[in-house]
Amino acid sequence: MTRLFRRFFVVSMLFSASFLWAQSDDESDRSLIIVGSDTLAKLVTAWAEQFYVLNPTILIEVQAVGSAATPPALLLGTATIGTMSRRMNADERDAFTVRKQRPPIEISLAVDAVVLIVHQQNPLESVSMAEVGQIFGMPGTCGNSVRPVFWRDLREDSVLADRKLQVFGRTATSGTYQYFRRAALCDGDPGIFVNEMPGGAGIVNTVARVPGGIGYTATSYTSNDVKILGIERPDGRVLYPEDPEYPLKRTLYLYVMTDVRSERPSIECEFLAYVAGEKGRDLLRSAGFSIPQVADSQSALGVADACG
Amino acid sequence: MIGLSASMVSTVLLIGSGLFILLVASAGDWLFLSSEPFEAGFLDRLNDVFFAKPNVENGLTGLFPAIVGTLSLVMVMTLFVAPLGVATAIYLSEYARDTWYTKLIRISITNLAGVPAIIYGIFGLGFFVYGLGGQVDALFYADRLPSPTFGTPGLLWAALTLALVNLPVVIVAVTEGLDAVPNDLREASIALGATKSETVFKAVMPAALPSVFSGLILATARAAGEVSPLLLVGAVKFSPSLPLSSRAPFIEFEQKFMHLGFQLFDAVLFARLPPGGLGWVACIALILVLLIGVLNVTAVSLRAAVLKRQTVENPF
Amino acid sequence: MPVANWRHFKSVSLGLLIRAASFTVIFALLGMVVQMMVVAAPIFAASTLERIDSPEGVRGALVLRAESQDADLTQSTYWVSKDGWQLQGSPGNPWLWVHDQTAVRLNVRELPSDFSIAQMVGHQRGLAVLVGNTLEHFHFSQSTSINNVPAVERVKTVLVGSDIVALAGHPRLAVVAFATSSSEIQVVDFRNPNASLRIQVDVEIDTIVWVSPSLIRALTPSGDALLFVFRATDIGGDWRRLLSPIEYEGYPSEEYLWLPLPSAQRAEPKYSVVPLIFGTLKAALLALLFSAPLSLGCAIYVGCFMSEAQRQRVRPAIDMLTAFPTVVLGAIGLFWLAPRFGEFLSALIGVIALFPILAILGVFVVRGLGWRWVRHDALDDWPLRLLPLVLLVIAVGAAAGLSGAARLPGGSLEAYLLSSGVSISHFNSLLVGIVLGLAITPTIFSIAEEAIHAVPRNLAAGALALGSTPWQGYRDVVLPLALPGMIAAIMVGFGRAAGETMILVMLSGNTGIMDLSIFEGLRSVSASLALELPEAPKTSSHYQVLFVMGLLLFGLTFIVNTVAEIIRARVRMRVRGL
Repeated sequence: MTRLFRRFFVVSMLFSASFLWAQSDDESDRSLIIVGSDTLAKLVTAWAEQFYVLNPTILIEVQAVGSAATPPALLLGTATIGTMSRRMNADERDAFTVRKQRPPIEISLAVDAVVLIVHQQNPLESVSMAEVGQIFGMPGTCGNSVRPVFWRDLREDSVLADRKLQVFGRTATSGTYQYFRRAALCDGDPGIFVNEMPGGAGIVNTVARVPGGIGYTATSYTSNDVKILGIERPDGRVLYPEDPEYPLKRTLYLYVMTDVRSERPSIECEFLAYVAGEKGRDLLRSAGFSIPQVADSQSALGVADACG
Repeated sequence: MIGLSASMVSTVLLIGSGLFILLVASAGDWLFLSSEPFEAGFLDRLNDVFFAKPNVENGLTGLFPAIVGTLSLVMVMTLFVAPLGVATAIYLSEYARDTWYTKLIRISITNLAGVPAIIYGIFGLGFFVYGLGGQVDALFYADRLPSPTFGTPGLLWAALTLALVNLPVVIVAVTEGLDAVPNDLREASIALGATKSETVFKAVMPAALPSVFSGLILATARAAGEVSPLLLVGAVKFSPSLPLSSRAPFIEFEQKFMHLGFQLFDAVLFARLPPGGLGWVACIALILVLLIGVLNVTAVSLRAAVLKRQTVENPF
Repeated sequence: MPVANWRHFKSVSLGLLIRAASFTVIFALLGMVVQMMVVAAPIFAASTLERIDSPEGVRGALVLRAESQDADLTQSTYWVSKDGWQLQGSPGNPWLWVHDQTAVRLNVRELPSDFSIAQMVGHQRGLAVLVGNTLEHFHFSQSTSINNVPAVERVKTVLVGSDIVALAGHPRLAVVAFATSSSEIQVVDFRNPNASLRIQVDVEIDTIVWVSPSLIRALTPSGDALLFVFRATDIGGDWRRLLSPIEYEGYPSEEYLWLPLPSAQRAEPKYSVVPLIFGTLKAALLALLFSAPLSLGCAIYVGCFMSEAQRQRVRPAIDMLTAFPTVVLGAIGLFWLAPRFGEFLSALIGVIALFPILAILGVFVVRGLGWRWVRHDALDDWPLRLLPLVLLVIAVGAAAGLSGAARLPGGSLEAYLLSSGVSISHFNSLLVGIVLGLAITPTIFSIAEEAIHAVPRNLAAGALALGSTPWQGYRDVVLPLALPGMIAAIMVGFGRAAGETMILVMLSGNTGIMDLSIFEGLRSVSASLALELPEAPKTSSHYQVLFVMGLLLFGLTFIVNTVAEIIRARVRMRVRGL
C-alpha cells in the first residue's frame, strides 16, 4: 500500500512542478474571451468557431450569460470583448472613467427587432403598444389600469376565450428584458405573473407549444413554429419587424476594452476585421440580424481599420 | 397491505423503465426516422451528435468535446477527492474515538451531503475562483493581469468544487467498506507486530479497496450529472479547444470546458429547437443517463462484493 | 511521544496527516458559511455619511451630470411627465398639472400649498416637500389616470428638528439631503427615516446639491464647497425590508415583490425574499406529497419483507433512479410532460380514483389463482410478479381517466376546469411537485429503508412465532422502532427538494407570485440563485441579497439535516441495545 502511495505522491509532485513550469510558456498568451448577451450568443459562437479555423493559435472562449455581465467583465479584465443587447448606461460608463480612465470602444454591431410571438393557431394578428404594456407589465404600467387575464379580455371573439394568458418573458439580467422594459413598459415593472425564461430560444420553444402563450423575444430566435404579431399604431396602421418604423427595433452593441500594452490589441483588431469582413457579415445576416447604418467610428469596419 | 407496498416497488421500477424507454424512443426516432435538424441519414446524424460544429441556426453542437471535458473534470476531481475522502474515512473508521470532535465530523459529513449543489457553486465562485484564483494570479501570473488566468472560472476550480460536493459520497462508501473488514484481520496484524498505520494501509485497506473504487465511481457519476455548481464555476456553452494539450502538464487547468450535463441544460433552455429537434435533446439525455447508469452499476457490483461478508437472514 | 524507530515515526506521522485530512470536512462546511456571511454582510450595513476634502477616489465623483438636479430651486416646474404634463408649484400657491400642448390646468389636491421647498427625489418618481417642520414624501404613479395625469400619493411624513435652509433630492433613491439653519447637514432616507445621518459643520450653508449618487456638495454664501460622501445599500440599512411588505413607488398598496435590477436603472429595486421562500417551501411540500407514499412504501417492502439476497439486488435497482440527473428529469418534464399535462392529470386522477376498486379486484384475481402466484414464503418475488398487475391497473386507470375526461363538458380536463374558473398554467406547481418528487424518491427510500432494515430481526421473528401475520409483525413491532428513521428520511428529502435547482429553473415558470393554487407557478430561492448570480455585479446589493438567500437556504437544509441526523443517531442507540 505504501508503495502505491509513494508513487502517487511522486506523480503529484511532478504534476504540480510542471504546472508551475507551464507559466513560462508564452504561447498561450494569445487568447480572446468574449462575454455578453445571449441574443448574440449563436452569432458570436459561430464567429468564434470560424475565426479559430482561420487562426488556430488564438484561444477563444465565448460566455453568453447576459448583457449585464459585460461591463464588470471588461472592467475586471476578465474579457476584452463584450456584447450587449442594450447600450451601456451612464453608471456603467462612469465606472470605466473612474477605473480605467477611458471608456470602452462602442461599436454598433447589428440591428435586431424585439417581436411579440404567440402560438401558431392563435387568431390574434396584432396588438397595440398600450396592450403590450397591459399584458406584460404590473397593473398601472404606462397608465393602463387593468391587466387582461383571459384571452377574451383582449379580443372578444378569440377562440381561446376562456383560457388565461400565459405570459413569457426573459430574466432580469437579460439585455432584451431591459430593452423591453424601457421601450414597451415605460420603465415600469414587468408583472410577477410573467414566466421568466433564461434564454430567448426557450421562449420561442415554449410559446410554440402553449396554445394560450404570448411572449417577447429577439427576431433572431423566432422560427416558423410561432406567429409574429404586428404592432398597431394609433392611426390604425400595423407595423411588422420588416418595416422601418417598427417601434421595437434596437441596436446590438459590441464593446472593446483593450489593455495599453502593445501586443494585446492586435487580437481584438483581427477579430473585428473578421467580423466586419464578408464572411462575418454573411454570418450576421444568416443569424437573422441586419447591418446597422452608422458612421465609421461606430462600425466594426471603421474600428478595425483604425486599429490597423 | 404487503401487496400495496410491493406494488410501490413495482411502480417505481415501472417509472424508471418508462422514462428510459421514453428517452430511447425519442432518440431512436430522431436518429432513424426524422429529418431535422441536421442532414438525413442515420450515420450522418450519429456523427453529428458527436462531432457537429456549432450551428448558427439552432445553437446545438457536437458532444465529443463535452465528453472529453467531462472526463477531464472527473479525472482532476478524483485527484482531489480520493486522498481527502479516503483519509477522512480511515480516520472515522480506524482512529476516531467517540468524542465530540468525531460527532462533529459525522454531523459535518451529513450536512455536506445535504447542502444544495448551487451553494457549493457559490462557495466555489467566491472562495476558489476569486479568492484562491486571485491570489494565484497575483503571485504567479502578475504579468498577465488584469486579464485573469486563474482568477476566473476554469477546470481546476470546477474540479475542486465538485470534489467538495462528492466528498461525503466517497467518505460514506469507504467507511462502509472499512467497517466491513472483520476485526480479526486488524487483531492479527497487530499481534504480528505491525504499527497502526501499517495495519491500516497494508492489511485493512487492500481488503476495502473495492469500496474505495465504488465510492469514486459514484462520485464520478454525480460529477457527470450535476450541473448547478458548474453554471457558476467553469462550464461554458462552447469552447473551440479541448482542455487537453500536448504541453505539460497536459491538462489545461485554467481553461473553461464543455460538460455533458451543461450541454443538456443549454440545449433545453437556449437552443432553438425545431419541432423534430426534441430527438437531439433526447440523445444528449440518453448518453448522459447511460453513462451514469453504467457507472452506478459498476459501483454497486463492487459494493455488493464487499458487503457480502455482512449478512443477516430475514425471518419473513 | 518519543518515537522508537522509523516505522513508529511513519505511523505517528501518517496518523497526524489523517487527522488533519479529516478536518477538511469541517473546514469546508465552516468555510462555506463564513464566505457567504462575509459576502452578504455589507447589505446590512447602515448608510453612512462622511465629510471628505477632495472628490478623488469617490466613484462617479468626477462626473457631473446635469440630470441629477431635476429641478432648480428658482424654477417652479418640477417635472414633465411622458404625456407632457408639467407639475408646477411655488410656495404658498396650489400645485397644478399643466399640459404643455393643450394648456389644460388641473389642481393637484394631494400636494400641500403651504410648503417652503420642494425637490424631486429618485429620478422623477417622487417629490419631497417641506411643510413647516415636516418633510413629506410623495410618490408619482400612473395607476388611476384620468387624462393620463399621474397620480400623486403621500407616502411618508418625517419630522425634522430644525429649520431647513436648503434641500436636495437624490438622483436615484428616495433620499434627501438638507442643510439646517444650525449649520448641520442631514441625510434622510425615506425608506428608513428613523436612522438619519447628520454632520455638524461650522459654516453657514447656502445651497446643497447632489452631484452624483454618492457625492453631496454644499456651498457656503462665499462660494466655498464642502464635500460629503454618502453610501447606502439598496435596502437602506433596514434588513426588515427583505421580509416585510412594502409600499413601493408607484404601487397603491403594500406588496411582497422580488424584482431586483442588475444595474443602476431608473426604477426602485425590490428585494423581498418572502415570495421566494414561499415558492421553495411550496415546491418542497408538494414534492414530499408525491414522493412520500411511493418511497416509504418501497422502503417498507424492501427493508422488511425481502430476503437479504433479493434486497441487495432491488435496492440498487431503485437507486438507479438517480441515474436520471435532475437536468434530465427537468428536460423530460419540460418537453414531454408539460405540453401534455392536462391528459397526464386526467390519467393520474383515473388511476388514483379507481385504485381501491382495482386493488380489491386484484386481490380476488390473485386469490383465484390460488395463491400459488404470490406466496407468503416467496415475498422476494412479489414486486416482479405483481408488475403485470400493477401495469394493468395503471393502464386501466389511465384509460378510464382519459375517457372520463373526454366525456366531461368541454372535452378535456383543462376545458372543464376552465369552465369552473380554474386555469392550469403551463408551468404549474403540481408539475414541479411531481417531477421533484420523483427526483427525491431515491433519497427518501435509501434512508428510510436503512432505518427499517436496522430493526433487529429477532423482534420480528418473535412476533411471527407468537402467531402474527407478516403485516401485523411489521405494523406493531418494526414500524414503531423504524418510525423516527422514516421521519428523518422525509426531512432529508424535504431538504433536498428545497435545494434542488435544475427542475425548478426549468419547470416552475419563475413567477414571483405567492399563490396557494397548485395550478399556478412559483419562484424558488435556488432557481433565482442559478439565474441571477452569474451576472449580478459583484459589488451590487443584488449580489449581496442573493448571498443572504443562499445563507437562508443553507440554514434551512442545515437545520433539517442536523435534526434528521440526531434522530437517526438516537434510533441507532436505541436499536443497538435490542
